[in-house]
Amino acid sequence: MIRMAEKFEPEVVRTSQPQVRERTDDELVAAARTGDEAAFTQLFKRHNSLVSRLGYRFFSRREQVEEIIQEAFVKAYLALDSYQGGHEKSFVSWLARITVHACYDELRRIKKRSESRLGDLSQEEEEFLTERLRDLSAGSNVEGATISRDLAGKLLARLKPEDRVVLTLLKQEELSIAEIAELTGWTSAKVKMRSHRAQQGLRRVLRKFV
Amino acid sequence: MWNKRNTHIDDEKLDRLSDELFRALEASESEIDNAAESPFLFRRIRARIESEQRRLAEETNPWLALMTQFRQAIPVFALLAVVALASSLYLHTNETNKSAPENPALIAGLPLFLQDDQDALDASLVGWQSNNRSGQPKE
Repeated sequence: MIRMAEKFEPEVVRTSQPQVRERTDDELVAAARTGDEAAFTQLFKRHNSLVSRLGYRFFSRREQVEEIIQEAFVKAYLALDSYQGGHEKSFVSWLARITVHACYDELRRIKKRSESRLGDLSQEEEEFLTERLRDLSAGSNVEGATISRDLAGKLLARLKPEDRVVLTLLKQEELSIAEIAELTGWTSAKVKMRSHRAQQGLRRVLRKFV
Repeated sequence: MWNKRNTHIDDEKLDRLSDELFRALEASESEIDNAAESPFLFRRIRARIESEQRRLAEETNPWLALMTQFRQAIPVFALLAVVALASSLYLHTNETNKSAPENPALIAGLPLFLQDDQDALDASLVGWQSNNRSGQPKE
């Protein structure tokens, strides 16, 4: 869990100059619980890029990511009483868990809304996919990368939300099965099974278009 | 032929393609920072927290929920009161008109504008009766 928290935590440049000791996350949470607005503001400033980074793993549009940031911090604030600290990275793990759940909920909402209007790929996109498959060793140029980002969004939108969550955490965050289980609250067996099915599902989606 | 080609695409290649798709989705640091430091984002969060707290408080306190519903119903009650007042005034005015001294020329509760017609009717009835009497067969 600590390792997972370190993955999410952006690198902080530490200077050797003596500084006024900053309050820890746990201290800030304790203060925020008593209604200290400044403490919650500080928590937000400290960890908003972590939430943004996770949001961008699942969504490509800025408005969607901002929505996730809002959702995650609102949920975190309302659940402050249930937070159990104790470790330096506890808050990061706790917030990451809330963010992943917010992303999962949003993916499910989107899936429900757009189930019937998942458009087919354009001729260009299909050609691009075929080309990439033919020569995977070729370095991607700028144009290819642009198309690919849009295309990736379209293709991954065809996966089940839980498959998407597992694959994203496996491939992008490079988390282990146990870490994903911890983050999602699912059992390790479920995550393992889901990752296998997700992989199969993505292959099926790609095979359909290539 | 299409199916044949499909089966030839091995899983390893597809996995490599899917890895590439995931890599393509990665956002840049500037994108991440821009979303995180979006203006008014924290203010929007505060507003949502406040509305959520209000909603939760209403859910847990039945009296507060009742008061909120009552507050929402005030315009409806006001409209009903105005309608009730207007109809009672209208009825009261009608009652006053009815209780006014009767016009002696008014015949058997008929409105005034029908009186001429009533005269004509009387006259025709008298004429018909006399005609009838004179036209009766003699026994």
